[in-house]
Parts: sequence; structure tokens; C-alpha cells
Amino acid sequence: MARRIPSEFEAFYRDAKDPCFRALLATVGSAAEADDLLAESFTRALARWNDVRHHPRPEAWVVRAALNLHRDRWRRSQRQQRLLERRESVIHDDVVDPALMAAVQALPERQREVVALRVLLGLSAEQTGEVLGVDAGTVGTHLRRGLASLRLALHGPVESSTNETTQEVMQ
Amino acid sequence: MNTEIDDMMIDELREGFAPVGYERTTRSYRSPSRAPYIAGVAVIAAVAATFVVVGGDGARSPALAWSPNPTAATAADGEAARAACGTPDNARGAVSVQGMAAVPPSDGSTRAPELGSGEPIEITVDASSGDVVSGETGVGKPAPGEVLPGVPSAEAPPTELPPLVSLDLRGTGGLAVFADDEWTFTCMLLQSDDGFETGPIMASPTAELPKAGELAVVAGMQTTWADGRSLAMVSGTAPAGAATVELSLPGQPTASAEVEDGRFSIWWFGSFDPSVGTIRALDASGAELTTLSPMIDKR
Repeated sequence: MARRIPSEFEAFYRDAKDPCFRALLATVGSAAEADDLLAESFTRALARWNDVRHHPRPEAWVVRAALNLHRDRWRRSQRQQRLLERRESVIHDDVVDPALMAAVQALPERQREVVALRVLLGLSAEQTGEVLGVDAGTVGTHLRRGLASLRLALHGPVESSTNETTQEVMQ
Repeated sequence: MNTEIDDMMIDELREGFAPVGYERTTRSYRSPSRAPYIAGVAVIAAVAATFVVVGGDGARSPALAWSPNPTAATAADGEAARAACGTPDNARGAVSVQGMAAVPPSDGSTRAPELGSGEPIEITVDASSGDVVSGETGVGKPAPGEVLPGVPSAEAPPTELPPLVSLDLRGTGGLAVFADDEWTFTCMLLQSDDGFETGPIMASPTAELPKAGELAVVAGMQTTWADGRSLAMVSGTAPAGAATVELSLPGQPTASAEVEDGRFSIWWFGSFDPSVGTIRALDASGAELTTLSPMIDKR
């Protein structure tokens, strides 16, 4: 009835779980939610491994599945306040510098997703765009703005001579 | 965007999140109320799943003991198990998937409605591919473009546990199964000074699990408690006429379990490996009805 877990999947899981978790943690802001989403999305990846294994970046498939689940839960859930409270608790967790986590969580959702996928998961702009359903140029814009906002939140305004990114954000 | 200052921010982000890992994070994380629930198995017929749970701080870790034969569970045991499993805040650690063996739904499939949201939903899934082919209008309907091919929408388990249908107590541990027609919860327990502490709680739509009437493994879990010892469990269904099942694992005494309402469950110290082990179903006279070896057969 069931089948054994393919060794190829095991290797994929071993290599991808941490980057995927980081990307999800940065996106959803809650270790519990990221953990739950990742468990589900890896489960689904395994169930459809024959298809997923041919994806150019299977970890992108996993994270996209997790983000879909996350959006779906938020849409249907009556528990938004609970999740917000949970997020708040994680910000004070010592796994990630609270200031960094707070700055990431303060980003608009799309910027947060782009930063997570491009920087923490290491996807290309095209792959990130495919996951999020936007074009690569839009990904670049969100990334620039996200990085600028993070820098501003963490380090304050920069000198005008090196403020190329900030100027772009203001446009 | 490849300015030096952006690169510095990128490096800072990567370094900031570098200590975060799937297990590394959960190890230091005390799960909130919903974390122990695993609904992922709900979506794609969970025939067997292996989970790893990382223990908590160990402050109340009891001395662990095991026996090959179960002890009779009392009504008070059942109430204590319900209280522990129904209060996920008491759960120790968080759950992470180690791996899972699963098969697509075997029949055409209207999925169980989501419970606890106030508005039921139905999601129809293609029997052969597992793809979502339609969702009823309303809360929870997958939005166009938001569902990957082959990724059914998530369903949330109810917050209230169904009736207790079996409770395997042996040594200082237990395994409780709560089920109704819609959801089946499997909950690991360890006795403590306060009653029971819970480990992982796995939730699956009952309709997608093997039905009583055949010898089959419904779920398997592996857990690491706070003192570092590994615990494993298996629960399943038994054929008609079965009174007990016996589980034989390499290097372990043969464990027996009572069959209650066509179900059985056993826990033991060690790991869960679906590729080894033999489960025998016996009738009341001790005659063998059928055997499952290995625990999870390959198709």
C-alpha cells in the first residue's frame, strides 16, 4: 500500500530543510507556523516526488506549497490574532536577533517573501517570480525596496554618497 | 541592485538567519497550542508517517519503563489521556517531519469539511493524481493561481478531540487514538506526576485511513523525549475477528496489543522503521489470522 521513502528524497530533504525553514520563518515570522507549513509541504513533496524531483529547484516547489498553505489558512482562519500573538512571541525568541526579525516582519508581505526567497533560499529572480507569480523585474524592485527598508530599520539613514538604493526606493 | 551596501545587507540577513535550522529551531522552541497537530497527513491519504519530535526542557521528565504487554486502561486513564491530548499547550517540543510514505486517495474524493472555522468547505480531489479539481465557493476555496498542481488545499483539524477509541498503556507510556467519522487523532503520552505529558498529536481525516477489516498500519511515529531516549509507536487496523496483534521487531521482545473496535496501537523504545518488523493479527484463541511483514508493505 505504501512505499518506502526514496533515498533521493531523503537527500533532498536533508539538504533543503534548513534553507526552506529559514525562508518560511522570515516570511511567516513564526517558528511554529513555519514548522507546521514545512512539515505539510515536505509531506506533499514526498507524495508527489516523481513530479517534484524534476522541478529545476524542488525547494522552490516546497516553499511555494508552504506559502500557498499559509495564505489559505490566513484567508479562512478566524485565528489571525492568535497568529499575530504567536509572531510576537517568536520575535522575542533568541534564535534570530530580535531586531533583525522585527525588521523583516515589518516589511510588506511581498517584499518579505522576495527577500526570503532570493536571499535566504537562494532562488534566482526568475525562480522567485515563478513562485510568487510575478515577473523577474518586479522581484528586483521588491528586493531593492526590501533591502533598503531593512537597512534603514537596522542601521538608520545612510550617507547620500552611498545612497543609491535608497534613492531608487524613493522614486 | 548589486551595490556594495545591498550586498552587506544580504550578508547580514544570511548571517542572521544562519543559526536557524529546522531541528535546531524546534529544539529550543516550546510549541504553542497548534504546533503539535500535523494536518499534512490529512491531505494525502496518510497510510504511514514517521515523525520526529524534539523534547522540551526535561524538567518533568519521568523515569521511563516499558512492558511487552499492555496494562488495562481505566476510565480515569482515558480521562487523563483526553485532558492531556486535548491541551496541546502541555505538549512537549515541536514536531518535524522526518519522512512519510503515502498514497493518493483510493476513491474519488470529496474531502472532509474543515471543522472549527464555522463554515464547512469541501474540496474535491482527483482520485488518481491527488490534484484539487474543485473547491466549493466560500471560505477556504483555493484561489486561482494559488494552488500548485497537485497541492490540495490544507484542512484544519478540529480543536475538540473526538471520542477515545483506544488507549495502549504499557510501562510509563501510552498511545491514545481518538476518532470519529471525520478525524482520527493519534497522541503519544508519557506518565508524569501530573498525569500525562503529550508528545506529537497526529490528525488525519478518518475517511482517508485504512478501514478496520484489514491488517494495516495507519501511522507510525518516532519521538525523542527530553532525556534523549527515542520512543516509537505504530497504530493500525485489524481484520474482523482479531482480538490481539503482536509486533515483532529485531532485538525487541514481541509486544502484544489488544484490538479495540478494529484498531490497535503499540509503543516501544527505539525507532520506527516501516521497512522492518512483523505484525500478526490473532483471534481470541491465539490463532493467526494474517501477517503484515514488513509493517508497511510496498506496492
